[in-house]
Amino acid sequence: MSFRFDSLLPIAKGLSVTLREFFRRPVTIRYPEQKRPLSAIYRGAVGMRRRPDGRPKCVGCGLCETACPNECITITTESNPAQPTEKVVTSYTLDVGRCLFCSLCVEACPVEALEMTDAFDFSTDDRSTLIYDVDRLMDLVDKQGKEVATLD
Amino acid sequence: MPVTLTVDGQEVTVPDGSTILDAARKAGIYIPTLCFDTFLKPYGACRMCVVEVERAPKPLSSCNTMAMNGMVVSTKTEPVVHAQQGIMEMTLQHHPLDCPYCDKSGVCDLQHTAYEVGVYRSKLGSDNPNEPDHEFSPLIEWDPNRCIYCGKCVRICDERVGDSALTFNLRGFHSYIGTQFDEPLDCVECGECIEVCPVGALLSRPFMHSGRAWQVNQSESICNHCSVGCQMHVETRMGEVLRTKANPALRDQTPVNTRDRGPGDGMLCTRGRFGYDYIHDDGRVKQPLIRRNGTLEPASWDEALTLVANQIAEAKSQHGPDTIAAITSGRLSDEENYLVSRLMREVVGTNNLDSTERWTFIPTLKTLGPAAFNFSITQMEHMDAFLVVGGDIMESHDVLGMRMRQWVRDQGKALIQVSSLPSRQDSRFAQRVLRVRPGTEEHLVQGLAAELSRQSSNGSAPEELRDYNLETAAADTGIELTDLSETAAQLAQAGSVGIVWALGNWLIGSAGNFAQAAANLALALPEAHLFPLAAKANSRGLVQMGAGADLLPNFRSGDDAQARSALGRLWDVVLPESQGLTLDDLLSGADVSVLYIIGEDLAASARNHQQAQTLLDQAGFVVVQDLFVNSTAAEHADVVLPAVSFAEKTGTYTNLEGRAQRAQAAIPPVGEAKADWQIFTELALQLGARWTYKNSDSVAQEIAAVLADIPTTHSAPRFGWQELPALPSVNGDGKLLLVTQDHLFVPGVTGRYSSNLRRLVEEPVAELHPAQLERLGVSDGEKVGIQANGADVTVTAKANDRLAEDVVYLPVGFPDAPVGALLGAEATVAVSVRAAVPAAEVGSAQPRARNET
Repeated sequence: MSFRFDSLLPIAKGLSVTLREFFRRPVTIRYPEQKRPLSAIYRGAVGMRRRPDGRPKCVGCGLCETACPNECITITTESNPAQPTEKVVTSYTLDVGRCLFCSLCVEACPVEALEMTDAFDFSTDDRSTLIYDVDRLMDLVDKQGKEVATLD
Repeated sequence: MPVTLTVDGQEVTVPDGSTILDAARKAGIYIPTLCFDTFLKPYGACRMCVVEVERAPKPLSSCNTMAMNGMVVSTKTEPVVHAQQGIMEMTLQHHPLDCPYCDKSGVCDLQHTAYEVGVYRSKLGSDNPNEPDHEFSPLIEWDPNRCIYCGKCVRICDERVGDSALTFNLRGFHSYIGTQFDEPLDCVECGECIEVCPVGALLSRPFMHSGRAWQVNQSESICNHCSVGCQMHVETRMGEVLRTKANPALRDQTPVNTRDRGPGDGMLCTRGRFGYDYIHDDGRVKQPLIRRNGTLEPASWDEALTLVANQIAEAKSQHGPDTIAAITSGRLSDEENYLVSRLMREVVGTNNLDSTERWTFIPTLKTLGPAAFNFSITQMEHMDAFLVVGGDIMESHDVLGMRMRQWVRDQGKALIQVSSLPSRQDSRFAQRVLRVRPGTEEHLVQGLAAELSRQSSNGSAPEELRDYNLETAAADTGIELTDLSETAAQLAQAGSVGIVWALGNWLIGSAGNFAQAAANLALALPEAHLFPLAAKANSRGLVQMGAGADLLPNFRSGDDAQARSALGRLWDVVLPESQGLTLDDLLSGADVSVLYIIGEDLAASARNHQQAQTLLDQAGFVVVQDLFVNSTAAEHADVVLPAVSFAEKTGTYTNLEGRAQRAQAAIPPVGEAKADWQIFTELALQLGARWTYKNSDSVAQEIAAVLADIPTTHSAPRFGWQELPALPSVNGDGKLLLVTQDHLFVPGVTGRYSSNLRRLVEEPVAELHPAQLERLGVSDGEKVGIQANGADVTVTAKANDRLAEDVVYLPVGFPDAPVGALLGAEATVAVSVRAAVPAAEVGSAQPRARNET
């Protein structure tokens, strides 16, 4: 069996592709340092909007909790001791680990307190950290659009 | 005569007296309503229920138009729907659409009806008055903006509660719901108005904003605060009791649906509706406590139960089983009282088991026999006249009192009130109020009995009543002779007379005597029934389960050899024959090595405080099983076992009629607490018994077998003539007479842990006649010291001109004012009252004014 030069041809072909790509812009990005821009209608984790005074916009009606098919939202409320007719939200938690990003809660909210943010990376080795309280949910909205690195 | 009519082409036959609405509902045809409630008389205010009737000139409101033979009714025609939509638009014009945070959302009649008639928003625009909230009451929130002027709250307060606290103020467009002339709310805050409000205008303040209607779980339960046994729903969310409310399934009774609404007739009182929050009080014992070096320290269940079992076993082997005693409570369920009886009799081997029923229920039972307790509230309703004696049933059995006021007002029954204290039944309801000297109720009843029997037998009174007549009764009770003879004449002509008395503190020391006097009166009258009202939720159940030293199941006496051997056969053991120690025996200095106190704060509630202290001090080992570290536990317990409330366990409660009703567990036990039946079972297993109870229901099955095997001896009530003892010394010697009575807002020591009820009455208040206060140099709201039997209690004084001048009233149930310490062994004692603290140091906490008119 003699050596055949034409057997090098595919290798050269392949190397040429490699060589060509070597001078091109990379297709991959350096995630998580870099992030790809997301679609404007991307549905990441649910976030809580703020009122002008910085408090959560939620009025505690419980409709998101009712609409949620996975029962990942838990709200507890009480009346304001100083003004009993006023409803105060004492805790609002959302278990991102159970959320399926269906956006039904956002649609249910009568005061538009919820929105789908672009947060999607929740990797953790402890599931309990996936239960977001209202401060973390508001953080998600605050960071909305800020953490996504553009590539140029 | 049934009536047949046609509704939407469907022929319906309904009983006479039914309305078109009843007929339509029977036919399954929906007619929207707003101001209609099956609880109330038809009102026809909202016009939402209009229907067209053939040959009627215009649409008729169906809720108050009687059904007639041959009527042809249409409910869905164009004019009807148009009218309903118009009405809804006008209603919504003044109703804020704040459903997202309104507590009523989801169970709102306006929401439902708007949806049904297809109007979601008013075309007339929104004219929301945006009124500020009224400062209405500590427990009832009143949002005037949401009111739709259906008048249900006004009507229920008038028709069913009888307080008439609410009214329509002003007229026309300016009309609003409020109190008469905007005076402060003057009622007992039963909250029935909250329950009927179709929208979120009247709300429960403690419940407000704690859960949406669709988020809460409901479990059927029985109110635990008195023996009426009102059926209620416990609403829970995430293991927490949010509120209790009347069972909504009962709120439906019309001529076509005459279901039984239970003993409470679908109502609840202040205690039932607001007195639930002791369940989550911070003071709950959440794990067993063992006293080490003088302090109670947390321990594990194993540790605590082993210690108790060892102590019992040791006492049993060293001193004999008869040195071990248990005190149980009428707040425990049937199953638990059965088990504690079995624990003491079978496992420990003694009859030393008793409860505070020893002072009121058991003497009454011994005098009258079990048949006297076989009455029903329905039977009560059919009486023509009521003679209510002693403790105020509006305080101790409020729902029954409300029902009695309905019977009196709606059905024209006569009500004669005999008491030493004013009652909410007095004016507007009672035809005659006999304000007797404290402690002389039985003398009045005996005098009436002598007079009436003399009349019926032409002048010859029975031998035993020879010494009694109206003159002696008038002298003893301080009532005018003419009033007494008029009362006697009224009773003789009244038809059937119900003699009603609550087995409360006022009877202590004289319960048997009073029962005999009442029986004598019943015998002297042509037709009379006795209605002794048990005190605690399960007093009757406790006695029926045989949880008393001289009691066996089904009211059989402890020395009934046949019943004892039958019970021994069922338990496969020879039961002890020795005479058990009663609570009185224990208090008068029995030698006790282990004292097991279940659900009773002996140190606070015992009638003889000093004796209770001595008993607890001398007992070798004290085990307290309770929800809270009460005063007995804090000072004397060696081990505290945490028990649970009615909401955390399943059990049966037997009400005053003997109706056994099941309360479901609504939430898991708080902390490590365990149900009482479970504690008894585990303790019995530790002591070597072979009990196999898996749950409360398996105990209930065994009880059914026991009760079937040991039937009640159904003798007719053995009423007998019996001479009453001499008049108790009511000679004050310049002192005042202390009268005690249950307080509606203080349902026992446990009820004091309810912060809702504490809002209504913050501290114990002694009531005195204003002239007496003046004499003492004390003004309204200042402190007075009350002394008797070596005890001294300092409380706030309040003027009440409806009391007699030589009387001081102090309610029972306050741990901070131990009435038992003052009372000693009597129901009524002479006390000395004096000013206590300079006016400047008096606390500002003023109790709310109560309607006592």
